[in-house]
Formats: sequence, C-alpha cells, structure tokens
Amino acid sequence: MKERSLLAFTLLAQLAVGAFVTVGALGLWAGITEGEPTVLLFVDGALLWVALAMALAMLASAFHLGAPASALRAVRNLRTSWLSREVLLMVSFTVLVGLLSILRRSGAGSSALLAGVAAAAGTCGLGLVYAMARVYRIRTVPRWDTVRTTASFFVTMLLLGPLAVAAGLALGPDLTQAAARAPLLAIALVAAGGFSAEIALGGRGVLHTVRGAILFAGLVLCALSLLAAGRSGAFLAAAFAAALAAQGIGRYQFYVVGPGRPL
Amino acid sequence: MPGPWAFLFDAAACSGCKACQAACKDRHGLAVGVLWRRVYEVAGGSWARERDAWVPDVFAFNLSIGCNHCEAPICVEVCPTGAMRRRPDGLVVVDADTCIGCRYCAWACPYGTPQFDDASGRMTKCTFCADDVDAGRAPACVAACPMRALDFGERAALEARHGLDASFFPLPDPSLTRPGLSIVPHRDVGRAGPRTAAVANREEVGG
Repeated sequence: MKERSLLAFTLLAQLAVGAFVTVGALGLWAGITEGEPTVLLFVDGALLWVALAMALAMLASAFHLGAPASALRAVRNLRTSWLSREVLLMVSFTVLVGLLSILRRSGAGSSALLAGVAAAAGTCGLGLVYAMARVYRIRTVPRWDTVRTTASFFVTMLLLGPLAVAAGLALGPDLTQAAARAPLLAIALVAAGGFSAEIALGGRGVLHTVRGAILFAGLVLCALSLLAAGRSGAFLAAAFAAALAAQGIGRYQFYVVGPGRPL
Repeated sequence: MPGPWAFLFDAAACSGCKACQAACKDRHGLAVGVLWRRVYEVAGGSWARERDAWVPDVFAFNLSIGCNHCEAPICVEVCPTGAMRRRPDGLVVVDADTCIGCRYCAWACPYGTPQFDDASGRMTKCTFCADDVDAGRAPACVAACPMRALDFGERAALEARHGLDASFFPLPDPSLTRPGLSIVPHRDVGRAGPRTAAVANREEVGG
C-alpha cells in the first residue's frame, strides 16, 4: 500500500486532536474542582505528548511526498485546496500546543493568555480534523465524497484521543485513584459511544468482520471499566489498543479501496 | 490567440493499435510506467443461448484518453502548491519546479491524467504538445494515429460539431470538470456499464 504514511498521519493527528480536547476538558475539570494538583501535572505532561504525536504525524505526512524537502509549499493554494488548509491547520495546531505547553511549564503567561492559546489550539485542532475529511471529499470521487468519511474521521478522534488519555491516566505514576475516577468514567462513556457509532456504520468483507469483532471487544471493555471502578484504567488502556487496531484496519481499507474509478 | 483546445476521438474508428500512446511516450521521453495517453480496452458480454447452441455475445471498444484540458480542472482546484495551472489558452500544465509530488491531483482527476514520475518525485501530465501546436503542427498522438481516430481543434468548433458531453461507461460525468473531449461513440457503448463491462487491460493502463 502506497499510503502507509498517510494512514499513520491521519490516525496520529486525529489521536492528538482528540487527546488535546480531552486534556483540555480534564484541565478545566481540575481547575473547577480545585484540589487535584496531580491532575494538573498530568495535563502538563500530556500536552507534551500531544505535541510529540503531532510532530510525528507531520513527519509521516512528509514521507508521502515525492519532494519532502519542499513540503512547506503545500500552503500556497489556500483559496481552493483543502490540502493547503489542512497543512496550515496542522502546523498551527502543533505550534499552539507546543506554545501552550511551554507557557504552562514556565508559568510565563497569564491565565487569560493560557485560555486564549488553548482555545485557539482547540479550534485549529477541530478544524484540522474537518479539513482532513474535506481533503478526501472530492466531487470526482463518489466513494470518498460521503458524510461517512467525515463521520469516520471525527469518531476516530473521539475514540483514540480520550482512550489514549485514559491509558495515560492508568499508567501515570502520580495520580490517585480518586482523582482519576471521574475523568475515566467520562472517557468510558465517550469511547463506548465511539465504538457503537463505528459498529453502526457497518461494512462488508472478512476484514470488516474482524474489525467488527475488535470494535465489539472495545465496547465490552468500556462497559467493564464502568462496572469495575478499581480497574477501570486498565480496561480503558486495553480498549485503547482495541480502538487503535480497529481504526488502523478501517483506515487501511479506506486507502486500499482508494478512489476506485474505472479510468 | 487560438484555443482553448480540445481532442476529438472517434471510438468507432479506433483499432486499439496504441500508436498514439507510443508516439506520446516517444515525443516526451516518458519513463516506464508513465503514460500521458492511455488506450483503455473496454470489453463485456457473455454467452447467449440460440435455440440449442450457446454462442458468444461479446463486445469491445477502445478509448484513447490523454488530458482533456478541462474547463473546470479539478487538478488545478485541489493542487496545494499552485503547480497545476490553466494557461490563458486553456491548456492545463504542471510546473515541475513547484510540484511537491503529493499526488492529490492524481486522486482527484477522474480521467487518470496526472502521472507520478518516480525518478523526479513530481507529477507529470499531457501538455497537448503545446510547442507543436504553437508551431502549427498536430500533437504527437494525433499525428501518429493511422486510423485518423484522433483529432484536435478549438473547443468551440468541436463542441458545435460533436458536443462535449460524452458520458458512457467508463467515462465520468462530464459536468464534473467540463473536459475538452468530443467522442464519436462506438456502436456498443450503450451495452457498456459498471456491471456489464470492464477495462480489460488494467495492468497496462494502471488505475
């Protein structure tokens, strides 16, 4: 498959945006509840991971190019090309997340500045996922030009991002079980919705059946995490692995089938 | 300034000799695997019962397709660098120095026109042999056709004579990009459809 690098890019970027949104919500929740400094420390660390994931995503996207050294030229046609818009949003999101991380760690910015940068980054991130979907919604490619493409990209964001954060919370050394309980509960509910949506989108073929089984396993793991409060982090970390495998297979099918035109 | 230009293809006259394809490769020194003009062999049909006998009931025709230098070129619209552009005379060209080889134009073009060159890492495409046309000569593919199945002319003139709305299988809906392509249809185009016909030489033409 020629699009291996695009598979890695789209999954990583959607994971990063989903994780950023989740971390943002986590930060807000910690701020409101005013008593969980460990959660705020976790947010600082998670922001670095988001920036790293985006850096890797950008690197992966460049591997797809015939002339990667000239990659920055890709922003020259913002007027009509969704690919140009995607690249601009990708770079903006990465820079803003990096800046937010630096500001938080150095304590240099006011809370209003931090909130502004975070809001701008979130807007760019969500815009990035939308632009990524629009890149494939080409009017000459009926197979890709459906709402299913947009839905799939946003569901991937909602599955991989929050579950990656849950895995981080489960593996994080300094977080108390009590501090993590509410975020893990919320993530389990969001992820269960994501798994259900992907199952409902359906599909045909052996590979889809395998993927369906993995999605169902992910849904069961989310349910288990809701039932077993003490081990919910471990269940959600396993659900993350299931989501990654399922969305990896789904994206592979997306690219392998390709535009699928007769000429 | 003459133009915009368009191709005329007579599917009823084409024998599928691929002289156009070879002449194009020769004229532009194209690498192995790069085909600016491709001859698609469209075939279909099966066996039909005639009283007590089964007889072949098959059909086949050829389509010679290069770049149609569309009026609404989607390759230009999606190109992120502006390397793909439509000249004032209507010819759609790619600037190799600006192209970054993202292949987005290849995804978007419903005619399979932009071709990736592995050696340069850039997209390449049919130029309508602009130098030849400017000098009053025919494009290489047109000049090479022994059946006179390929011709070229100004878009308006070809549209008035033959129309620019050929949309039989496997051609895409022309309203998507408004191609500069007139086709005199083969008698069997009405039998061809996504379920009744296929491109028989896929390995050769790619896609």
